[in-house]
Formats: sequence, C-alpha cells, structure tokens
Amino acid sequence: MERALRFLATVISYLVYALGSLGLWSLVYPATCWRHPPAMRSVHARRLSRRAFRFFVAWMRWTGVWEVQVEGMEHLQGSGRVIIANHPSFLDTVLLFALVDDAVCVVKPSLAKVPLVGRPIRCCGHIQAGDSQSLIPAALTALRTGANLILFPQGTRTPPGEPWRFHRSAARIALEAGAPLVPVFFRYRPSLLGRGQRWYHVPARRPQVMVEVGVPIDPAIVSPDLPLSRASRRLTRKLETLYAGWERGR
Amino acid sequence: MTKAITENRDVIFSTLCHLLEELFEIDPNRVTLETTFEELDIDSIDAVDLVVRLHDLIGRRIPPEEFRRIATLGDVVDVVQRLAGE
Repeated sequence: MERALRFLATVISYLVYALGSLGLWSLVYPATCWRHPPAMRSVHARRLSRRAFRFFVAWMRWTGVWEVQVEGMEHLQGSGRVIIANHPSFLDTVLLFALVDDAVCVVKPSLAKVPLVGRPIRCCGHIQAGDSQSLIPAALTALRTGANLILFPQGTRTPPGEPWRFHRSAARIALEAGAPLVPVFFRYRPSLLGRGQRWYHVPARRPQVMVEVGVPIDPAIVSPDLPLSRASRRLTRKLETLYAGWERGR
Repeated sequence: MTKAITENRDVIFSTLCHLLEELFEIDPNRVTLETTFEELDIDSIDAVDLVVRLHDLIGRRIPPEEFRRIATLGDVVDVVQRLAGE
C-alpha cells in the first residue's frame, strides 16, 4: 500500500518536473529575462533554476518519494568553488542544483539534445564537456565571475562499488583557478534512478538519501611547483582515495 | 643517410620519453614506439600540454589536425621528424 502510494507520488513528481520545467523555460524565463542585460541573463536563469529545484526537492520530500539528509551544508556556501560529486543517480544533479547557489554544471554534450533539459542547459550557461580545450577556459571564466562549478568527475552515472576512476579535469580546473574543491558524497539506500533504472522502478522501501559534504580542499596541498599535468594527477589520486574511503566508511 | 635518420629517431624518442616523465610521471622503461596514449592514460588536456612542450623544443607548431591523428608514441616521433626536417 505504502509502495503504491509512493508510485503515485513518483508519477505526479515527474509530471510536476516536466510541466514545471516546460513552464519555467518557455514562459517564466522568456517573460522575465528581458529585464536583465544580456550578460546577466544566465545568472538570472540560474537563480530561477535553483528556486525551481528547491521546490522540487521539497515536493518529493513532502510527497514521500524520498528522505533527504544533508551533512556539512555550510561547505557549499560561498562562490567560486569547484564542487565535485559521485554520480549514482540522476537525482544528484537535482539535489546539487537545489543546494548550490549560482551553479554552473559541466554536462555531457549529448544532454543538450534531450527535450526539457537542453533549453535550461543553454539558458543557464552550463558547460558542455565536448573537448577539453574549450572546457577549461569556459570553466575558469565561470569561476572568475563568482559562479560555483559542479562536476561529476566519473563523467557519467556510475553505480556504487565500481572502482574510483576520475577524469582529471576537475583537479586541473581547481589548480588553474586556485579555487577550493568541495567534495560531495551521495549515498542512496536503496538506489534510485541510477544507470539502467527507469523512472517507474519504485524501490520496495522509501529511499533515504544521504548527502555528505566534505571540508573544502585547497588544491595547493599538492606541491605547487609541479607542472599542472603532474599536480592534477596527484590531486586526482587524492580525490579518488578520499571517495574510496568514504564508500568504505559507512 | 639511413643511419642518420634512425639515429635522429632515437634522439627524438628519448627526448619524448623525458618529456613524458617530466609531465606525466611515466617511467621511460615502460614505453616503446608502439605504446599508445590510451595505455599511458594521457587525456586530451595532457595532449595539449605535450604539444606545447614539443613546440618549444622543435620551434615549430604542430597543426592540430596532425595531432588528432596521433595514436602511438611512434606517430609523435614521425610528426616531429617530418616537421624538423622541413
């Protein structure tokens, strides 16, 4: 019975998401963006996006689709930070967009073609991780303007238990920008909307989501006089070790 | 003539090995001309760093379309040899 209700709540939630996203990006944003100078429109879009995601996270809590607990929220406050996270579920993005102010996310280029997702990606100025020669400068520019950068260094959704293999671009960007790296760890019990799971797969019991935000890491902990290519290797190894420890931890 | 060319290739290869060690902490004993960038876990950001350093060494720019075709260390040696010889 509880599961059937949760299934219903899940269906309604996705409708809310789809209609909300449609309304936000084809009505609210076009109706309000003209008041901002072109250079500030993506900031405006990100503000709207954060409000919508906060509402959506609260909605899914309220309807009982999931329980969410955040530890270390204070480390996410601020600007110009490089926020990295593991990526067990589609909902990681939803949560980070709700928790992080002025968030620019590095996204897979294929997502820009997905209906309901492509438009907000363009309006909010999220960065498509096509080739690294344009990714790094775009990321550095976003950080300089005070935005927070969200990256999933595993590159795509990855189920728990797989070896920790990170792309080095997150470490590289933090090193080049001299920006603090904030590690976030997502834990879903049981898993929800992971790779290969469909939206209608409602788990037998209500998923509990733990979001653990670690203490910001100063990229200068790896010796500062190394060439960037070596420093980013060392920093990436440190991050992989940190996540492996996190996963073993509890 | 042929001998000079092979010697030349050896010099280029050992310079390349030094660069790989300096930039990416890759043990020179692990690599041959057939080793691929993929095996060495050299990503596209690393490749840009490598191109910049090669440019400094040979004083000639490696055209990006040239570099995109490169898969193994032997390919790098070929390109450098050709550009240096021109």
